[in-house]
Amino acid sequence: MNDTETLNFEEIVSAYYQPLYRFGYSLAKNEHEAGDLAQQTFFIYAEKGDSLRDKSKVKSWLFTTLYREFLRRRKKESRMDHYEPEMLEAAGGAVESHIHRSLDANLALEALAEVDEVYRQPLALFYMKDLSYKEIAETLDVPIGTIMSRLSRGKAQLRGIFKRKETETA
Amino acid sequence: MRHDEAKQLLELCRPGNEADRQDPALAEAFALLDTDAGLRAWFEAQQATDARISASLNSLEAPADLKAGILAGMRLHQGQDGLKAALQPEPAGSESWSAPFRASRTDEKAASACPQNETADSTRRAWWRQPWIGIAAVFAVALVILYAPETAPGTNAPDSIALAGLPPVIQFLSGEIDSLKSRQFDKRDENPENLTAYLVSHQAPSPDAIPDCLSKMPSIGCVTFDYKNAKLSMICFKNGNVYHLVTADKATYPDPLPEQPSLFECKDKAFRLWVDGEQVKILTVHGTKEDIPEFI
Repeated sequence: MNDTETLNFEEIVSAYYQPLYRFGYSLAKNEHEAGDLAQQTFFIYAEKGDSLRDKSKVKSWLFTTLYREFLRRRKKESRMDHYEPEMLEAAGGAVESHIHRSLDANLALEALAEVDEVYRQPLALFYMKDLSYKEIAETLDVPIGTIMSRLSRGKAQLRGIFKRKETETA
Repeated sequence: MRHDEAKQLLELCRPGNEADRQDPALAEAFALLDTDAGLRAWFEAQQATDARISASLNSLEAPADLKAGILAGMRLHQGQDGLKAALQPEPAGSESWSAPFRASRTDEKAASACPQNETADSTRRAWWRQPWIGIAAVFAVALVILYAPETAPGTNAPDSIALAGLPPVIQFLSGEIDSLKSRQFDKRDENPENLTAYLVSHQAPSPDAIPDCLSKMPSIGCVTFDYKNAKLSMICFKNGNVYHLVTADKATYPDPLPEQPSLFECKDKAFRLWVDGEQVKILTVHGTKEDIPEFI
C-alpha cells in the first residue's frame, strides 16, 4: 500500500471507526469486543479492500464485514443459546455501567439490549443512520420485506422500553 | 394505499434523512401525509422519538485509542507486506501475491460481494499467518519470560504486584471469564456448600476453606476448566460485584508458584494468587487490585 493508499485508508478509518464501533457494541454489548470487531474489520479491509472497485460501497462493505466477523466469532464460541444475567455481568456481556458515557447513551444502549436479538441488529443499524433499509438488508443478508417487519416490531419494542427507562430515571 | 401499509413504509424513514424522503418506494406513503392528518400526527411523533433514540445511540464514543490502534496495526501490516516481498521474490512469469485481487477487479459484482466470497482470498495468506510471524512470536515470548519482573521471595510486602510478566494461568483465566457468556455453569446454586459438594463428587478441586471475605456471600454457580492437563474449578459469588474463586490441587498444578500471595491485573480484571495448604487459590474480580478484598 503506497502513501496515497495509506492516506485513503486513514480517511476511511476516520470516517467509519466510530459507527463501526457502535454497531459492534450493539452486537457484542462489550466495549472490548466492539473494539476488536472494529479493528478486525479494518484489517480485513486492508487485505481485501483494494478489490472493491466501487468505493461508494465501502460503508456497507465494512458493516457487512463486521457483522460477519461477529457471527464467525459467535459460531466459534458456540453455545450462545443460554446465558445467565449474572454470568453476563461477570463476563462483561451486559451494558458496562462502569464505563463512563452519557446518561442518554447508557439509556439507549440498555433499552436496545432488552430488545429481542433478531430485532436488535437491524435496529442498531437503522438508528445509527449510516445505512439505508436496503443496505441494512444487504448487511444482514435478509430480504427487504423481512427487514421492514423486523424494524417495525423492533421499534415498537424499543420505544416502549426506552420510555419506561426514561420514566424510571427521571 | 392502506393506512397500515403507509405506516410500515414510513417506519423506514430515518429522521432528518433526505435520501429516505426522496426514496421512490416511500413516495406514495409520503403523499398520504398531506391528506391524512392522523397519519401525519403519528409520523411526526414517531420521528421525534426516533430522533431522540438515534441521538442517544450516536453519542456512544469509541475508546480514545481505538483509531490510533487501527492505524498502528495498518502500519505494521504495511511493514510486513514489504518484508514478505523482500523474503519471497516471485519467479519470473508467476502470478503475484495480489493476483487474486486483480483478477476479481474485472468482476465488480464479485468485488463488491467480497465479504460473501472468502474463497477469492484463499491463495493469499493474511499477514498474521506468515511463517516468520511464528518465529518472531517465539522470540517475543522468550524475551518476556526472560525479562518479566518476578515476585521477589522473602519480600517484606505481603503482596507482590506484577503488572507485566503475567503468569500464564492468569491470562488463561482472564480469557475463560470473558467467554463465560458462551457457556453455562456446571452447577448453579446460591449455597456454596452445595457447589463444593458437587465439585467433590465430580473429582474436581474443591476449596477446603472459602476465604472469609466470600464466606457470607451467596454463590451463583461453578464451572471447571482444563489447564495444561490440570483441573481448575471456579466458584462465582455475587455481592454487588461478582467474585470468582479458582481452586487447583497444588500437587498437579503445572506452573511455578509464588512464595508470597501475589496480585496481578490483566485486561479489566484483578487477580490474587496464593497457596493455601495443599491447594492453589486465585481470587478474581472485575476492576483493579484495589477491588480485591483483604483477608487473612
